[in-house]
Amino acid sequence: MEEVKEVESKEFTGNSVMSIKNLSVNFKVAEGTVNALDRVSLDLAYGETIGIVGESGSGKSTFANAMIALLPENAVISGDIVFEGERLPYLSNVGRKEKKRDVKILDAKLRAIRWKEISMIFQGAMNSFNPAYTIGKQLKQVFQIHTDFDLDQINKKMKEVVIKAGLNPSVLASYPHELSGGMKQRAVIALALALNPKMVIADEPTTGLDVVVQAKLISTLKKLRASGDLKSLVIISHDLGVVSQLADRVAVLYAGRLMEIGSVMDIYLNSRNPYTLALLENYPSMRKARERVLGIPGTPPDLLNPPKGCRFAERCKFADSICTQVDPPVVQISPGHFSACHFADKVNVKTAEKKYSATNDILSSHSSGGLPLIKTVDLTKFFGLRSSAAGSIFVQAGKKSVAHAVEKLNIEIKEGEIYAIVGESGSGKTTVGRLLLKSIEPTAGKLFFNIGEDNVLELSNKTLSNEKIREFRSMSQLIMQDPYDSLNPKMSVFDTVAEPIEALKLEKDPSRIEAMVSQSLESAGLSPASNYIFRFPHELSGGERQRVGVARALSVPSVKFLLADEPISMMDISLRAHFLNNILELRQNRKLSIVYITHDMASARYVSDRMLIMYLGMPVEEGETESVITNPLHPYTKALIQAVPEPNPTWKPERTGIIGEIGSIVNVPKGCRFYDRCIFRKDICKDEAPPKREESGHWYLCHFSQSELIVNSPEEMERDVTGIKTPQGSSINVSGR
Amino acid sequence: MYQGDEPEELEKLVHADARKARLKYLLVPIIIYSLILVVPAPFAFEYGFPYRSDVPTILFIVGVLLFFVAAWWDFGAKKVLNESVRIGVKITNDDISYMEKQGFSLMMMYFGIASLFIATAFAVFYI
Repeated sequence: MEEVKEVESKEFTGNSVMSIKNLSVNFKVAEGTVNALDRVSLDLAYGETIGIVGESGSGKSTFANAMIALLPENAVISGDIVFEGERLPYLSNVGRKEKKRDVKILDAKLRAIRWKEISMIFQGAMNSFNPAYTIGKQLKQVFQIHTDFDLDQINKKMKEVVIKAGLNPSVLASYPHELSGGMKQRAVIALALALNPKMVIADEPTTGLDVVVQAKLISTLKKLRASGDLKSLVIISHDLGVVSQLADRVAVLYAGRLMEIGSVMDIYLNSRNPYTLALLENYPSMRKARERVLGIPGTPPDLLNPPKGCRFAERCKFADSICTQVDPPVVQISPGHFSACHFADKVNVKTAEKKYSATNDILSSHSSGGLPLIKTVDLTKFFGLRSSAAGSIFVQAGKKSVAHAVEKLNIEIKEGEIYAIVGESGSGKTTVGRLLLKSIEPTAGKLFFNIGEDNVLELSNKTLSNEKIREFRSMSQLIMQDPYDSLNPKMSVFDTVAEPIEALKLEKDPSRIEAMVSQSLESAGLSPASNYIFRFPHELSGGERQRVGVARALSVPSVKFLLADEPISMMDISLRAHFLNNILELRQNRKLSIVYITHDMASARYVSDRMLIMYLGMPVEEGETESVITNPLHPYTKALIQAVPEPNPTWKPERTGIIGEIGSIVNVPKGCRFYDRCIFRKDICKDEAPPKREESGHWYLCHFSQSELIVNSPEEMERDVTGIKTPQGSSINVSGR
Repeated sequence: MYQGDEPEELEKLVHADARKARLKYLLVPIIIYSLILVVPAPFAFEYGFPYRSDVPTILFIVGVLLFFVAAWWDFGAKKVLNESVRIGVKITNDDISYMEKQGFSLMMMYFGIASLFIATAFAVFYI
């Protein structure tokens, strides 16, 4: 790493807003010392955007916190962080023996830098607003603490800054819960830009947002950069697509070490590091969604005892004996492009393609499915606030209080079929899942489940006997979204996986139960089962935890239907590939019908046979997955597909073909549900429900055929959450992809 | 243009619903009141249960408890508020004031019933 330090210093000296030299961060914990960052050096030039990418645990957030001196007290820091020629002071380096006065001085120095000079968009910050204060009040505090402005000046500045962030100034009077996720994130950006800082650190700024909102946010950040409102930016993300859009240079971190650094083009199009290439190869983009992805084998090393030599060696397909013995040299590939690898000269995109997608097999077309297993007829679920006595009293007359969670759902899922339900948050996907599992009762409509031999249960029948319900429960299981929160930390893997067997009273003999648990662990890919059976969740990695979730669902031998609700949303790229392959194997080996709920189009394309697109509780398009992806018919589907990020700097998300953000299921339009956001809308869409248009099993809900989908004005496409209307212009046709 | 934009007829139904719901809330203490008065009566007539000394004590204690319940219980308002946020119903300051008013009126009704408990206790004891 010494070489990197030297060369970079030459590249950016005298022109840096921040210069980091040989930064190491070690955390002292009960078990020992965690080496979170190891001799990382990089410079950030004025006006530059640097992206920092890597898997969870690679040290990205530690790096961000170090840049703004926010590391906890147990952090031991070595190396230098120089901001505008001055070394950043560290409270954590003061120690308890230092005088209180010194601590106060350092604190005051840091306060002068934080937010005024360096501000930060924290991970999940949109959920950190104080719910009792309006956005305006929280934004006002920034000015009151850091400036001497009077109230008029503050109000003027606040308006300016929210408009810059792409919001309507009326949001200043709103409480956080009144704003959508995207609007809250924009408000966080407004907070970060309030004092016009020289440098902004954005830690996972788009994580947790839907693709459409994410694409719009990327556009806003790009505009802010172009206008100079956002000066130097450090963007930290595990999402290569997001970083490719915003960064000038990219640094790749792995297990606390800098693996590669270079311009965005160098990293994305001409990477020379096996880890970067593995990340790129496994990125779930739409372009490669039908190719078999193998994932990155293994897990990141334990940083309590970091391995000798290259930290990626154990998982690297290019590794040789030298990699596990000697630290990799830093090789200069081209000016400004460095890779820490023994084989940087041999590794490139072509060799990586061979190694990481070794089979390179385009997934053969999926199964066409067997007999129908699940059928719904006009299945509807409304949630009414007035359904309880308290609701009747406390909700004002005249207030809209019914949530149209799911309306008129007509689907048929066949045996052995993987059926994807796709849509943004708030589109009703999870409610459909809960209805299919009979964990909630429908308000109207019918739900049928084929338990075999032409014996069909009507699950929507409220008089269904307990015996029949138990029979259905033994055939249906759920894989939950969050592998971290869905496992009881006090239960061993055995207890967790055996729970459904015991709950459904399928087996009483302990040795039989153990055999069943072992078998389901093996089929979920946790092999040998004896290695896992007595472990507790904290002893498992994220991927292993998710597999335990799968094993729990498979422990019931009679299971025919599996519901996977956003199962990969919390996973790193490498784990995603393993999980999706596991799902495909399960379908093949056990002929399971799987409903795969997701907002990720690329993964849905990878695994599913058929796909349903939902918007505000209504199914808007359904068809064979390939047909929906390659020939989207509904304007919403077109927008969703356009918004899926590509890990390519040349990808342009500016025009997603959709207005604003998803509305409320309480206040749904009378006519077409998509009316408020559609760029093709006409008067007829306002009050009349759209008809179903069908072509060979692929249908969509719209008043218009494909040739009739014409945008009223080009500016219509640019309309943003500010809701500022632009004058009507000439017509352009953007139908099709 | 949005579903549910013509709620004139609904409004009457909503008010009727609210009245019924209030009765539901009041029913529980009224049932308790009736049970305390009625259940010991046969025991007093048949087995000499000291009705005039014990029943007023129970009524008084339950009456005081009811004051506390009414003062501390939100009558489910918090749950309604959480549910509103979860399903995306916009909450305004006007809604909060309405909820507070409704909560206050329920509390006063409970206070009334609690006073009835205590008044009955005195009546049974002294009359």
